[in-house]
Amino acid sequence: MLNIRLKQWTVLLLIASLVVMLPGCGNTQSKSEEENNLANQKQVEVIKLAGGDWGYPTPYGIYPRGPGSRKMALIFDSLVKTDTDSNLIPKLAIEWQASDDGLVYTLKLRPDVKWNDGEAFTAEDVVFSYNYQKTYPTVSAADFSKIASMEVADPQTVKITITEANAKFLTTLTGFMIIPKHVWETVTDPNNYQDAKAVVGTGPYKLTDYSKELGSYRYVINEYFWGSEPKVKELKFIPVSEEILAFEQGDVDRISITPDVLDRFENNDEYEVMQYVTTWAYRLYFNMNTQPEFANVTFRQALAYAINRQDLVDKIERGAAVPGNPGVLHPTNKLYNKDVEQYPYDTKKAEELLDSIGFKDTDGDKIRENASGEKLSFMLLADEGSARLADLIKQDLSLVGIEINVQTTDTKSRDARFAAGDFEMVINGSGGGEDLSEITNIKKSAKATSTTAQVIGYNNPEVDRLYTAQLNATDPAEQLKLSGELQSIVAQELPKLTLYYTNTIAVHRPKVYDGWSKNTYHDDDRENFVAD
Amino acid sequence: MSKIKNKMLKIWKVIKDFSILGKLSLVMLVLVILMAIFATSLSVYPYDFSSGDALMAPGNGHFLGTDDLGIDLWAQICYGARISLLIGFGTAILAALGGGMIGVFSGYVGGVPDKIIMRIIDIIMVIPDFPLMVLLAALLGPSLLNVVIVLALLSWVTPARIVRSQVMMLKEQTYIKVAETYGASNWYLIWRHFLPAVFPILAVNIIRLTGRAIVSEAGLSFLGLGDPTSKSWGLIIHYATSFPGIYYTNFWKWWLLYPWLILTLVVMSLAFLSRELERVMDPRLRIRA
Repeated sequence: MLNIRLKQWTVLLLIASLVVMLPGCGNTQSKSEEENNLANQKQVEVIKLAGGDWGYPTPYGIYPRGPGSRKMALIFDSLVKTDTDSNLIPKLAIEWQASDDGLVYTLKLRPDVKWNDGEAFTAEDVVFSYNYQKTYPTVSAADFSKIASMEVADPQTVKITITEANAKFLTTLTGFMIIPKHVWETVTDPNNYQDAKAVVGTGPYKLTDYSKELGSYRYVINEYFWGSEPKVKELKFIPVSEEILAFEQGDVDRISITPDVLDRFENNDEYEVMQYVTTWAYRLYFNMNTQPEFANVTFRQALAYAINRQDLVDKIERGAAVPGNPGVLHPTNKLYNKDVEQYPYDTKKAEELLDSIGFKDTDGDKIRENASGEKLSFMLLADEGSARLADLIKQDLSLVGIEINVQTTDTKSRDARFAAGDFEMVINGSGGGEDLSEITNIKKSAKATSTTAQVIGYNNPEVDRLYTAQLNATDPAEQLKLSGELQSIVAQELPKLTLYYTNTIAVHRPKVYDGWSKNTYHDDDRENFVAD
Repeated sequence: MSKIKNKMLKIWKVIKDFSILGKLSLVMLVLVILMAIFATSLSVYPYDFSSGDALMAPGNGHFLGTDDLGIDLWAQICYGARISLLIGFGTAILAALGGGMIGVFSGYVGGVPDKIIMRIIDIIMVIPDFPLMVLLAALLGPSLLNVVIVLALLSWVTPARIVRSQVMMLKEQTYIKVAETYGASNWYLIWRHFLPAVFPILAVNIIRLTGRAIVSEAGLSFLGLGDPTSKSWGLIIHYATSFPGIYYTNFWKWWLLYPWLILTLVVMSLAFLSRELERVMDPRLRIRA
């Protein structure tokens, strides 16, 4: 057995050294300089990634989580997209123009685009998608509240009339996925429409297999795709139990790892490690509707002092995270306000605050009581992935006399209970939430995907006003100022407490495929496979 | 006083007959029982609160290292002994007593009730027990009492069957027949004759079931169906194995190894002990040995 292993390693080493030597010495330097891995990448046959069931990849069939949306976005296109600097990028629309009063937008559509079943894509489809999605909101519904009407000007042009002038109107359309009229016009129950025709889109890939039970997907190139040729012919998402094992055996081509096993891959030429600082964060939410204690801002501040966020980072992520900013935004966000209240870990301060609002331990059981003599005891809901995080918060809060009972469920149940407001405290992890919309009472769309202020019971008109103002601000300096003010209030009032932002460490084999994007850490993002 | 002394002597006589393995097992079990009783005073660190950095290797005051939250592992294992033994013996006694009673009833009464009970036993015996256990545990929800009830519900059949056949055999003995003709009541017979006769077999069964229950509880906890607040050995193993990539780090060398080791040792000790007892108490086996 050992012998065979040794032989395999020798052969591998030989091949590896050959590959390294063949292109010559100059290659190593250019590699670090290259901006986009994808441009130099040759087309490969197949890439395999760890699967998991995220729903049928249509705008209606996915689960409201990132992996679902990204698997859908392999098939469907929006009119426009924004890049990392919030600039608009053309997708199905290639040119746009606003009227002088800013109320009418004329969008020129990309010519000669075909659906992956061969039918032609026209302005009819866009207008149909709008009307259809207004009746049946998608899982991640776009904000249609500012649109007065949308109509076909000619087969390649769409005219959109909006209710009030807004220079940033088009950015609200990035989540508006265009669906084919010839498929969906007869469908009346889109949420349960799982026909093979439901995955007809204009995007780079088409779905050939999906198994809900296994959590597996298989995509192949859509030969009608309008953009550049994808670098991977076939994408497979397969069930995996032990990711590192699967990766080392070559069953999957890229995984995310913890810092504990970094050594294993870092000093090995066969592998390449890519590290990302991300805005994906764990946040703590309080249900102010059912637990009146949480409606007290001093109480929330006491909790912020009592929870040792640096300790969470050190223990749970072994350093591969950034402690949460009470102002919600990640320190790398260009709107980040560093001057907000930071609530350094301080149990004394927390206890003083709790004393000051009359939450004292009167019966000597080391748990404080509220004004009516009830114990300060709360149920903290967490999913399996954040169960240990919840345990640490329980410890931290027990030190200041607050009892926490941790309840763990699977992620989907946690999400459902979170959205329904069925919790006292909950830890939610998500990549969104940076735009602060969820703590406002502004109604965005018919169907909200993430929890909104109504669910947690927070209402501050000033927050709503500042949020809308900074969103619509066209002058960057003005936006920075307004957003800074908004963050100060949020940090002061803590409608939600950001625990920490995770960093992602991804590892792949450059020899197998090296087109992985530096902008996104998600393996299943279309950016890894297609240059748009 | 002399009565107790007599009993002790009797027990000592039984133990003296044990093999080396049996004696070792007994010592091991006594140690674990002591560990369970004095759990909280055996370790300077708390079993449910961080007392160091995450994942510290053994040493530096943490005798067996710490887990991912920085909680001392030795303290957790000591406290886990309490939970695991409680579940083990709780389940075993419940199942053996319940099963024993059903067995006596079924064997002594006979007829239709016996047939019905036997069919129920047959059904429970052919059902693979672990999947059913998982199902019941998931349905009833995670709590220590539920785990005990679920395990007891699935383990009473073996003692019931053994006791039944013993009782059926005893029932035909002349001394029982004589007692019956002299007007002995059913209760009298059960208390006076049947229970003392089946007690040794039940005792062996209790020990065997204890081992099984400890393993089953560990299995349920490992699958995340145990009581998350109970801190049993199975739960330590559950957290260790759900740590991403634990086998590619050094952490398993303490976090997983020690709870596994103690669990294995206890279950093995119980198995050896039940074998010893069987040998000592069953005269036929004793002659052969």
